[in-house]
Amino acid sequence: MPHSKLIIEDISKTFRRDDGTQMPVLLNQSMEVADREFVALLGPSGCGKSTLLRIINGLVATDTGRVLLNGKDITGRPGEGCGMVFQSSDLLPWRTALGNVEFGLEVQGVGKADRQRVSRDLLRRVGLTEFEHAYPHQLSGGMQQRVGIARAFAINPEVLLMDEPFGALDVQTRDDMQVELLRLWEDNQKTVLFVTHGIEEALYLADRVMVFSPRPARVLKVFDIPFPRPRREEIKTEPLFLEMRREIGGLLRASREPALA
Amino acid sequence: MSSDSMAGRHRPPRPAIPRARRASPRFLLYAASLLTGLVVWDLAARNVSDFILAPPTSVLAHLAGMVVSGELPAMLGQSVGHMLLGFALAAAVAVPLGFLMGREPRVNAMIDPLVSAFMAIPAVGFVPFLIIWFGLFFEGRVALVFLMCVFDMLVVIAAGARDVDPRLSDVGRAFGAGRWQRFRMILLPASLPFLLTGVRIGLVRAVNGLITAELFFAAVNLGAYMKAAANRFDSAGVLSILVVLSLTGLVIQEGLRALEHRLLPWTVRH
Repeated sequence: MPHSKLIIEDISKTFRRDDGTQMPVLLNQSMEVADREFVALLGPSGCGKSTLLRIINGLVATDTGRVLLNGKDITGRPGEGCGMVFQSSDLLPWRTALGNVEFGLEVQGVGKADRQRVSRDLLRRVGLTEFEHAYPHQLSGGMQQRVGIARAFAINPEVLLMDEPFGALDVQTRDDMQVELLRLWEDNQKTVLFVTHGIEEALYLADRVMVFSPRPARVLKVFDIPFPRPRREEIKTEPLFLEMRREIGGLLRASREPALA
Repeated sequence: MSSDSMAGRHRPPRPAIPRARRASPRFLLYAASLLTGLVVWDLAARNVSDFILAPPTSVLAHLAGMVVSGELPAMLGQSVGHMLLGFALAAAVAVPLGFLMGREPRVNAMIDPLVSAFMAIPAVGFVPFLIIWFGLFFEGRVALVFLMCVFDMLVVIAAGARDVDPRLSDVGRAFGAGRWQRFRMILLPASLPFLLTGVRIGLVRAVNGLITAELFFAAVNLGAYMKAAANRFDSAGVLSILVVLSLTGLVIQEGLRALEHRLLPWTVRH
């Protein structure tokens, strides 16, 4: 498939525990992601899907295989076209909301006027215009993560990598953030890899959901999500949505049981 | 801020972000603390003769005399010289070395045992050697101040550099920041609170070193004054110098705290 935006080839990763034993987290994983496709990587917590994301980003070195973006090998090279949204937002506490959104552009050497213009526009789009001078500790968890998303969008990345970005938020805020993310994404479609352990979240957001096994992670099944865009929250109660939700839930449960026995 | 109204556009206006301000009760407690110290001192001095312990009032009178005669400003001006130079040299070593120790486990493994070994020795223990190497005067005093500051600052600055949340370094790397950018944009600001604490501790140690040096090398300035007063059994004279030192320490600490508040508006305060 020459038209794939992102190609992941044969990625394996084994971590060494403190006691010297080996812990394989990823075994020969390959996947291809099309341009502007929203892919959810769904699996139990700690299964290795976050590690896959960090390997794609270049934060973690892979043992085997490679990562291609637009046909170019970016394995182990952070900052090459990937924007990252972290689980706990991980804002720089000494920077204001605006300063945090500017961070990636500043690293790239973009001039102050330009990066402030871009960052202010993004803060406006996530509804935080009044808070541009606030420090992270003055913002709620949801607001912090909106800054984290704006920070990733600011560098206009080829691929947006999101590592359980709403996992630390309360249910109501999480639902609101999903709506907000879709609105942002539908305005400015990016290729997205979204790691989550929420079935409903994956179904609601993604074009394609890849369901992972427990560690070492491998893809159990891939689901194409048929709901039209722009998506409305109402789809969450449609029979097809509920049926897919049930099927994926069963799949995850079945994959877990041998580990318990 | 616990909950958070979303869908950004039609949010009701929020009150301005609260800015941490030093509450007045804290200031009152601060004053009360100093006042209590003075009262205890005064009560203790009432029952003994002046040369065993002079009361605060006579020390104050003595100090006023020293200020009016111009003696105190002149002595302080001279003492500050070796104090600041010794401190500056110590900072010039402790800041880069502390960062290296904090970030490079191998450097730390090599230097940390030495630092721990030296910290147990009171700096005055080195005075005989310092006299041989640097003489009895200015250079010797600078060397002693340096020794008294450098280890404490090293330990604090290294701890700060080590303490930086690795997730923040990851943010830098994820956005493609190189080594120098990560140092300048992540490591340095993240360890700034510790750096300033290190400077504060170092400066207070330098005040300590200032008088120690003037007593243990050729006695000069404040040290000479203190020795002469002690020889006359003039406890008000001795205590005047001690009060000057403690006030200098207080002013330095409060000045640096104010600086921290300006430089670190992002740290959460209570």
